[in-house]
Amino acid sequence: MDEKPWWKRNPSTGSVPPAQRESQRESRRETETAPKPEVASENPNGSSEWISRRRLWFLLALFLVIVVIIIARMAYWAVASPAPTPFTAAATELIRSRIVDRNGLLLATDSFYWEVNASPKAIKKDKDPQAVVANLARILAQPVESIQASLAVTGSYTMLHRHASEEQNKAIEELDKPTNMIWTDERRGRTYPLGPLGAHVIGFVNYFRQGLYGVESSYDAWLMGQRELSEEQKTNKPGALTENALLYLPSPGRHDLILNMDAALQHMVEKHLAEAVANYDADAGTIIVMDPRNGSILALANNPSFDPNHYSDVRMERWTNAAVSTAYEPGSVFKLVTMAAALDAGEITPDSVYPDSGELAIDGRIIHNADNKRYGNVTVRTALAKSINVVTARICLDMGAETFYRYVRQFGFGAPTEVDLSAEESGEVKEPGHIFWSRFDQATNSFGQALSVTSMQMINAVATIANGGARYQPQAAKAVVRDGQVYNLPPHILGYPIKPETAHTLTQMMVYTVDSSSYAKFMPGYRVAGKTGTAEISTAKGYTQDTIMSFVGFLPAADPQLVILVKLEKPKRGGLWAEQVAVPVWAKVAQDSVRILRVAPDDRMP
Amino acid sequence: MLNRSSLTTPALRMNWGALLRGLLAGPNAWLMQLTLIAVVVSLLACAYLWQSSALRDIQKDTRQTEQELTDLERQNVSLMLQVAQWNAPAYIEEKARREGMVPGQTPLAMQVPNPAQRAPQARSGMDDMASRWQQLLSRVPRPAAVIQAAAWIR
Repeated sequence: MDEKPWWKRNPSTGSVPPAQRESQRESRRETETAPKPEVASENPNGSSEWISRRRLWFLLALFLVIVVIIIARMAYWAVASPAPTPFTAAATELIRSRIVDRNGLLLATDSFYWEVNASPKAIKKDKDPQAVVANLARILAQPVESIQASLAVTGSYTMLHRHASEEQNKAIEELDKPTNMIWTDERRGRTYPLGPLGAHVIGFVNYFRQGLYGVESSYDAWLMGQRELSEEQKTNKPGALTENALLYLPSPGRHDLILNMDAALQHMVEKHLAEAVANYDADAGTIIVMDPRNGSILALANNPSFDPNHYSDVRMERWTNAAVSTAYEPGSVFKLVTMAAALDAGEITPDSVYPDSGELAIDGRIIHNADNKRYGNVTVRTALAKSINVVTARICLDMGAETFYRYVRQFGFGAPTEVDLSAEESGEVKEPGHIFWSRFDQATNSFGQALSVTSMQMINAVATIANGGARYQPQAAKAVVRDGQVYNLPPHILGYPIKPETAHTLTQMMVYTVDSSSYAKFMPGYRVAGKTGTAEISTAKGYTQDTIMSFVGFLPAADPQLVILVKLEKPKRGGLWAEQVAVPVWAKVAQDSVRILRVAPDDRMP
Repeated sequence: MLNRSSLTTPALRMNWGALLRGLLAGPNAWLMQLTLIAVVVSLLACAYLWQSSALRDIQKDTRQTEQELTDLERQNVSLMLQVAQWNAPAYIEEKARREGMVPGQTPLAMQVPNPAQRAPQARSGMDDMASRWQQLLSRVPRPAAVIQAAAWIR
């Protein structure tokens, strides 16, 4: 049997055996040599050539039919097919998901705007170019000169407006000008419906919708849908959205974010801060409200601030979140860290007595008390309450540099707090081994000079004291939302700088500090633990008369639920001390905080 | 005896090999081959163009759907922004201030007489108006803004 495939076989032989094939050839030869009968030439139906031609014509006809079909189809595309639906860039751009506050109030969402473009050449060729310019100026609410300046460029394209509204777009369409003269492009943009509220926490996105500051930056990949849930998050059982959040979520982007921020509290905090900055004629200010039980940032305000909808209207410095990006010398508030270190190391008790002669000489340099008073023999508790520099420095030197700086590091100073807000500063802490470090530095560090911290580091350290010694990672975000399912972001403990007993003892000392001060009972119904700080501002020429006034405290002292930091920079009115300037602001913020967050009155001692 | 297999109709099977051999036989075999190749290529081109056309139609439909979705999203966002602005703390505070719901201001209170509590013979035109007010007020839902304001503004 012939095993060749069909395309290799001789068409005249097929699968005929060789012997039979030979006989076929013989008979064919006889046929060819024999005279052809007349009938065969007259009747072509029997001829193989005729059959072959017929098949050929059939194939050619088939080929022509197919070619005609193809040509007809292409002609249909070219002439009769309807033009594809015009689609805008907005329809194909990636969707950025939404951000809401802890109660589900919308803070950031994608929105739509139009870019208005024009061809200067086409406008010049128009019958009445002046009328076109006048109409554009009217619609875009710009001076005619501005439109004329935009059209004065050479070339066939210029952008007249970057953020035209839907109404402006409609008005331009109604101008009924050819699309090669004036046209609009719909784009996706970002809108912050509450304007400047929480601007430094939320941040903003640039023209290309990349997050630049705040959670817009730190959760950029999540909001753009470019990051999925971690394995840890997937194992957690998701929750449902609240009724309020269902108004805005889930968004088409399906990767939303819920912040710890309470918009109502944030509003009140910003209002009190703005009033304080104006009343005390301060250069700037910062207020943070944190939940010490998990590190949640409930409110964070800086003044001056900005509106993220119009971020380019202000100078870049205003975009900076001073609470995490600006380091300062904290002053006496830092005495809490010194006391915590000494108490935890067993160097002191609240009742340890230290002499205060009003000054302390170290390596030829002298430390004075801030009020230039001499207190004589005082307990550690009193030293903290009266904010005595000399005693604090003495305690710090006695415990040794290694112990002191170990606790400073454990409280998180000199390193980022790992808060989920962008552009965080570390502050600066000189330690033994640093070329410019000396014992005098250690002494001044004990009361918050010659080192720098951020407000976030400071409030986090005090939150550590409030919650019994656990240092949490501060968190601006509460949960992520995937397809309408809420995945809470669990609190992260970064360490345990001090023992719970130390935290408890220090809390009692802080309560004593408040209760024995001139501002005692400023929060009726609540027991408050806190510490003021009035720090001179250092410059290249040394310390100046300008100060940074701050107060950090928490309440209720027996069961701390809120820790609040108020910081005012260079206040020029109101008084020389933080208790005259920062404490009243703190009281206002605390009163609003307990009301909005429903913290029950609690006057118990810790 | 009848053979069972002889009763069944033999299946009509196409012998494609024989057909091709037939097409390629004869004096015009080379022309036939060329034409056959042209036909096959044309058929493939036709199939490709047809599929491209179908794909184009699907893409067009997808674009149109995407555009419709975007239009709907735009409308949705527009409404949502209005709701968000009505729930904004600053807006609520301003509204509460205008209605005297903040410390140091006298709240505006409107007292509407209840006509149901009065005897039918004592009803007057004023009562009818009051009744209409009652009906109207009962239909107006308490705005979320006012509820929230009551919670956090003293």
